[in-house]
Amino acid sequence: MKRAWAMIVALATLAPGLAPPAKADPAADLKAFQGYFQTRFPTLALQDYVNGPYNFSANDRAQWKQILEFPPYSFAVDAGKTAFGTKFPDGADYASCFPRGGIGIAQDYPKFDEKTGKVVTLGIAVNECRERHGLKPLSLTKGELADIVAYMTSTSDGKPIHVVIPNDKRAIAAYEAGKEYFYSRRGQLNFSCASCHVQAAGKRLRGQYLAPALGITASFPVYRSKWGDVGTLVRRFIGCNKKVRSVPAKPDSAAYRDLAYFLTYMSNGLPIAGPGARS
Amino acid sequence: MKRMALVVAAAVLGLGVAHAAGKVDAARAIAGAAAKMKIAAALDDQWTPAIAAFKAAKAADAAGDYAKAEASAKRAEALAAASIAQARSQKRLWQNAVPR
Repeated sequence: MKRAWAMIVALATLAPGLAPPAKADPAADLKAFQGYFQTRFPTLALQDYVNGPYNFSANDRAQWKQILEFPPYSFAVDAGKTAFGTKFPDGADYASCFPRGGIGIAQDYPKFDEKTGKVVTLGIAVNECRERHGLKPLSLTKGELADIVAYMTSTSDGKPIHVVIPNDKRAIAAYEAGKEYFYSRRGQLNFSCASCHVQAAGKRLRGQYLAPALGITASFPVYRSKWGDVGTLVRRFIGCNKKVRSVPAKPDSAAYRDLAYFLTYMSNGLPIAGPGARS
Repeated sequence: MKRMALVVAAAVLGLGVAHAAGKVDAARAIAGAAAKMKIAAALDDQWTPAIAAFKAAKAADAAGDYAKAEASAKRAEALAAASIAQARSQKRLWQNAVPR
């Protein structure tokens, strides 16, 4: 009998599909994730990671600093501030939908909504606000919504990212789904998010340095020279998916909500540095 | 003269049969690709080249180029099969990439 049990245990251990899934522990993940980068780049301070690819090339960093003398995202911030302050037809405004009037709260997003059981990014929260007041949702990738989120993010500049994973099975499941998405290879080129932003972080892909995943969300929304305007984190997810020849998910999909949840949580403690500018 | 007419008739009939067979083969290949791509989509791992190949197959089929339609559909099916294999293997393998 003992031998039979030993055989069963041995088989379960050998067959990966039969092994019980590891218990989710976001705090331990965070420690391991940040520790991985700090071991790999020991000269970088934790807060430096928000500078993304500009930690790895003095020349690129100098050019970036020059660009920031006249921040290309400033028009978006101004437009976002105006849109944020404009009253809805029913007399309400965006500020009425958020704690502290929506000022200095970007570091707390994405959030888990216990009522719906879904992750809510700041962009989705802006759209939910619009819908509550009878307005159509905006595109989650660019345009007016990106401007509004850019403005709201600018009011959180320097505040430490503080994403919370509550002790709720659905929140843990969302976090785990985001984690799985981040590390899963997809597309014809067989890349995961981690392929570029963990394993190859700090290395070159053609002429550009790959930003580490740690701190990568801190600068969003971001003005990309390639785009010629400001875009949200979701816009970047879609672009990355297409680059590896994978059909992207929908902007408000659970996949992207959960991915943003996991990825931003991994940067907890780092300062908000958005909106940012990238090549 | 009669013999000549018979040869021509046989040739025309042969071409018609080949044309019909090409159409059937293309339709079968397109259906096969569609089925595989449905599975890939359900696994959230559809590849853009599979979509492009499938669109090319449908366009060629509509234009009556059944050989091209069949070839493109088979390519779409092969790409979809590879994406399914990728998605299923990644269900396990992604954990190997997590920093610990």
